[in-house]
Amino acid sequence: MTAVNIPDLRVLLVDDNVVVRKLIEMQLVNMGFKNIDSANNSNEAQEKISVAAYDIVFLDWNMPGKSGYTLMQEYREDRQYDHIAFVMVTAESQERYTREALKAGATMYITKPIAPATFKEKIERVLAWIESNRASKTG
Amino acid sequence: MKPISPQDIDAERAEISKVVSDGVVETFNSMFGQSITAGDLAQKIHSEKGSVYASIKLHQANVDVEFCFRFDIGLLLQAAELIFTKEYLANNPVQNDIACEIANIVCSKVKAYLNEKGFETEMGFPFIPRPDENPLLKNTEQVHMHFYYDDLQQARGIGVVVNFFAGDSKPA
Repeated sequence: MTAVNIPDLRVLLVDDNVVVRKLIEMQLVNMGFKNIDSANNSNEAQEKISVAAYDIVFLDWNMPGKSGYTLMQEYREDRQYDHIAFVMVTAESQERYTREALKAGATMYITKPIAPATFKEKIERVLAWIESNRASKTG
Repeated sequence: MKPISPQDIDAERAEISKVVSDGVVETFNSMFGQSITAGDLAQKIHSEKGSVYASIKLHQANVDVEFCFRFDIGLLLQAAELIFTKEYLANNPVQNDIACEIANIVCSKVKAYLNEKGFETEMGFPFIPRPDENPLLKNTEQVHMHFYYDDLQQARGIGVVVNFFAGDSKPA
């Protein structure tokens, strides 16, 4: 467990498939998350990120238009978004994709189909990252 | 990177079928908690409820490996009602989204399998074919992957049918 207050965290789900967004949202709600927005593509995500301070952004790697991977790379080049935990969600199960995503700045990599137990464990690691990130900025 | 040919896909047909079979069962179970089982064609089809088709292509150079999925609408509605309210579904049918996502996940596993064998492929986005664009499932004698489920009346029927075929790339 972490000291991060889950209901205070703002989450953005970015996926072109409404079913995937809903499945992730349900699991987050079960964990106590309350502030959950969604976007259908990278453009919509950029609009939302420009006006709201999100703590966690879930990104589908492959989306029509700009991919989630490209979007994450762009934000990771801008230090004002260092506080955002980017969670890549993809059906790509090959190890090299995980390595590539983490190297490019992803905080976590989740492979579909998403098993609830695995999801919870990975989100707890994301929460630990947020806590550690905040501590390093204030300490 | 090894070049891929239709003959390579035929040689791997049994193994690819196993990847697809395991992937379909795992995906329905993990995402929706639905239990479906692989089987043969000797059981009846829920054909009266209608079907949703989804296709996806793996591509390398001038070769496409196309996968076509046919889902029984009853199975997809069961899945949809597990995560959306009936009121939402009345105005926002999500059967196509579920069909595409399952095709996407299953074919990603095939892509990973082929990659392990040295066959690097690119995977396209899943799409809903037009009714005249699903020839892969028309000749049922050539389709070997069937999956069964129990509907709400506990009647067992075919929920998913999958077939795949490798050939020369066609322009999009």
